[in-house]
Amino acid sequence: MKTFKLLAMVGLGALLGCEGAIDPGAITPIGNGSGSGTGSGSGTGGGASNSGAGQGGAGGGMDNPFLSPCVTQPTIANAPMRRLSHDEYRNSINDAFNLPAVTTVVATSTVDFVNDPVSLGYRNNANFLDVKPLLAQQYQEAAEKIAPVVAANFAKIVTCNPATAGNQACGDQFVTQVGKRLYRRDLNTDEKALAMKAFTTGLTGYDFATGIEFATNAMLQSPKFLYRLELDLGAPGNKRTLNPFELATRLSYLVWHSGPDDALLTAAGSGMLTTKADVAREAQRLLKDPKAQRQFHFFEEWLDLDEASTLDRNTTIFPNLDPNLLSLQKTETQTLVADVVLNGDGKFSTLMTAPYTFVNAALAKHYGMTGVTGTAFQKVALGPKRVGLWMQGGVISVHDKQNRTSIVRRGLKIRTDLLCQTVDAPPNNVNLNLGPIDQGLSQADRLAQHRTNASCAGCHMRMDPIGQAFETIDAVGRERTVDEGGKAIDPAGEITAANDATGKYVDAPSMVAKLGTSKIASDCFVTQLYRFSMGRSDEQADQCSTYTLKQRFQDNGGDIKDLLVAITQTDDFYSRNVLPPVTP
Amino acid sequence: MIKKPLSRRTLLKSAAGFSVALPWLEAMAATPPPRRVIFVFTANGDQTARRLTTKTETGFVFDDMLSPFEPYRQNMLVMEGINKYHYKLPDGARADGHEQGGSALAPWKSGTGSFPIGGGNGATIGYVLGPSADYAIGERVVKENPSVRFKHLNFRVGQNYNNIWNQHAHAGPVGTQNPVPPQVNPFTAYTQIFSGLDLSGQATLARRLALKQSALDLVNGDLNSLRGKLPAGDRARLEQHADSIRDLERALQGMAGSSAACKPLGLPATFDHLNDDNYAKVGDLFFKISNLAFSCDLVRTINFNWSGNTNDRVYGPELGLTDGHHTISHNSDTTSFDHIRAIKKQLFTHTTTKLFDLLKATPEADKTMWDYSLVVIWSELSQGDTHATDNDLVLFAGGAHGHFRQNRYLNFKSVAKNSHSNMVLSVWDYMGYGDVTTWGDPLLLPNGGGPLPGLV
Repeated sequence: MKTFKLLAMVGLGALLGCEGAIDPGAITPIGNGSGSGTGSGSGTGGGASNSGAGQGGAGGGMDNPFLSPCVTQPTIANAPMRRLSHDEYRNSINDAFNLPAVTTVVATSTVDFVNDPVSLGYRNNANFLDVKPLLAQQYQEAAEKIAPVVAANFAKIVTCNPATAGNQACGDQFVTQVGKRLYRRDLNTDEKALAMKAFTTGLTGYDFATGIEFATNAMLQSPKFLYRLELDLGAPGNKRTLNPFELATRLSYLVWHSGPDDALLTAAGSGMLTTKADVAREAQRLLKDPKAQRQFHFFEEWLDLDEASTLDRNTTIFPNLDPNLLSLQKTETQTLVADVVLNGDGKFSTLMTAPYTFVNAALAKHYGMTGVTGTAFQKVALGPKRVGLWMQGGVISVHDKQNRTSIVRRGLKIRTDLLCQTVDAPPNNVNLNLGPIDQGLSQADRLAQHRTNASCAGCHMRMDPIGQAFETIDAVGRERTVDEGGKAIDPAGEITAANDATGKYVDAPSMVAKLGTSKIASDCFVTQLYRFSMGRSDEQADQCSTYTLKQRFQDNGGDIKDLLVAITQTDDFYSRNVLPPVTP
Repeated sequence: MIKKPLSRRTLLKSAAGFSVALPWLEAMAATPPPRRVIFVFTANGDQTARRLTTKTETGFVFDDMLSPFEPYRQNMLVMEGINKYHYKLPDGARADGHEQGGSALAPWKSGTGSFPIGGGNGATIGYVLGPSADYAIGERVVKENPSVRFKHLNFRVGQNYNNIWNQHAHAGPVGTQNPVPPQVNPFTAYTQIFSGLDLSGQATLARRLALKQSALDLVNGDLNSLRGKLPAGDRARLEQHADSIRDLERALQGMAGSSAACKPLGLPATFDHLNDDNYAKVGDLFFKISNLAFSCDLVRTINFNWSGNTNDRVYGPELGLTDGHHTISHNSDTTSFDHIRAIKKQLFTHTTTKLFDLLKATPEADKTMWDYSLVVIWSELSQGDTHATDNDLVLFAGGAHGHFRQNRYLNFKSVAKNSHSNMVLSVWDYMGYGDVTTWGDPLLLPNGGGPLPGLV
């Protein structure tokens, strides 16, 4: 019997009951990083507020209907040094060499990299991305496996023949050329000397290939490669525009999750990457490249699809599942995201309500669809009871339990990550008992009974009705009309305390349609992409940038590709606060 | 501060030293074995009413759940009534019982900004703002015993992602959210921890050392070039990196084995460490690695976790259950409690006591490692259905150098100094650091610092 690996990812059982004095407004927007919603606005955006639902993102001034935060608080947030996420590490090396053999060894040698701590759903929060001993050792081991493969392919990387040009000259060329790709700029004299020293150690002790191996091995472990450094050498106190190479780096990691290509580095080195217009032009170019498909990684983390590789389920209740089910469902989601965001109209609302999905024969069989053959994913129309991203099999069922759906978890996911609201935990030392599961009630009925306790209702009325609408999808992502106990499903309900998404719905498709056109969900999406893109939580000081992005996202009809370009135009992207260095 | 790297000569000399270290160390046999502790975590609390049937200090009788420990009782201290006092922390600085409780070896306020669930009063919550005891004790051990390679080891069975619920070790310093993601793959853990064991052939060894050292030279050069150029937060992370590089340099010194038991393990054939069906096998292997790491004196504090807190593993293969551990733990009915006790017994019988047996089977000085080690068994909650944290069960096992008066039951419910932090201070005390009299936030030591009374 298989068991389920995902269940502890949210403290959901903590939410199965919440006796005690919980304020009905206990769900509030995730506001600024400090959780204190101050600012020039009148109001409700602060993290400590119990004023009920509000828009996600920075609290404070944005609530003032008359003044833009760019007027009241034209600040930018401090940008921490960013270590490469593991995906960025892999992409950066793969793109620097662009050789299948390197890509293969990168994949195998990094598979056990210790996962970075999650913060607000993402594994790329700069404040948690450091190099502890375990990771330092993993970097060392990976570099030692990748470097010989690079060395063996020297002739494909650098056009220099040691037999004719000489070992030293070819080593120099290799370090110069590869170093620039890895460090994302030209190496300075000291950096080059360090790399050449490693090369020389290998060369003199062994041979030329060993020299290349040693140099590669060393550069792959360098902090100049592993961190995206933006050194503030000027006087502190003001913000500064990033230099062209810093902009090139921010841009390529934003769109490609990888280092700049030669064209971008050339633009940076030739004065063609200085203005915001330059940055927008290059962003548009990068978005047209197939590497932009890596944007899916944001969606994967936003939707929690990254947290497991298999969807283990009770084999008695769910017999004969495809062992690769979750993998197939991830591909389904990836294909939809690419279709809408990169190849289609790019609209958030389309993503939310697309009346189609993508399946191959194996997934079609799982969903009970007919007429689909082969392993390639193809577009298929959905019936009236299922639409868009959030009703996809993997997206919704990844929050379920081993033996059944989880109404609470599904609702909680929508609350926290599509509406950007927080949910309190039940107080300690109170009875959380929901009673046994097999008492002849549907899950929904059982939760409804639970909510007759007013103190539980405060939290659960925000989660359960949303989750209940999704009951028409079972715990492995298939449509159904009755729940696990054979009870008829009633998907109608009401979203409460959700600003312009508040209201009644008849089923999940109508609910997600309502969410898809709501400002609260649209703003939340901006917040989510902003957090991921900046590698940190949004803060009070980000207000100008986030407000501007939310407005533009609205004005452009929720165009996600345009949102990525828009991020590059914010002051938080284009510049940084000059921070005083700490001397040793 | 970025420290000066070890010289190449030192490294080569030390690496070659492994093969000659054991005879030398045998001559050192008269040295008392080092003090070491392994924290063993199991999730979701238990059933407070069904731990013991007789609760007298020396005549205590284990109830069924704890019965697997009966053969080991001579070297056990059974403690109830330990209180985590999380309610003393102010709103906004206290995560929920699972989150805060799982990090109770790091009894600090919680930060904000990382999770939308569980903060209270509408706020986000973050990781705890300070180090865990396994890390802090280990930091001191390494500082005072440079031959000990690792500050701590941090293992978890299952789950490959890391969040507020399943990371229980923290590096600090105080005021900083800095969780330490655990090692979850025992096979790679073995390779990484015992990297000095498989050095074969001097030619290969010399090349490997040259390869590693040439990279470390470059990394240190680049790290040094960044000194004085980064603001505070970034600098702290760079220092962490530099410290990790020091750790790699120590690894080049090879193995400083302290007993004849310090020799390679016969590893089983690889299996999927993330497949829940292999849950116990992963734990067993981590215990063997822990035992060996102690034998080689590579580490003296280990944070071992059968899972993260809130774990919802389904004990189907072993117990025929269909609901997850955490899900069941929120229920108060008789059947659910029966299942909770069965899960705990499962974890104790078929798994944790295997660690005891490994320690007992490892000769050390005149006895075994069991006699010179401390195992601390704990959970994030006292009981799951109420999220209670005021009546925790904590078990001290292992001879622990005779530091504690054992084979006793102690109930701290009515004892003033009964904080979980006092319990951790008892561990500090055992480890030889009795000068540490306060640990964590003072709010969580409401009746003063120092160890739990009456243990020694």
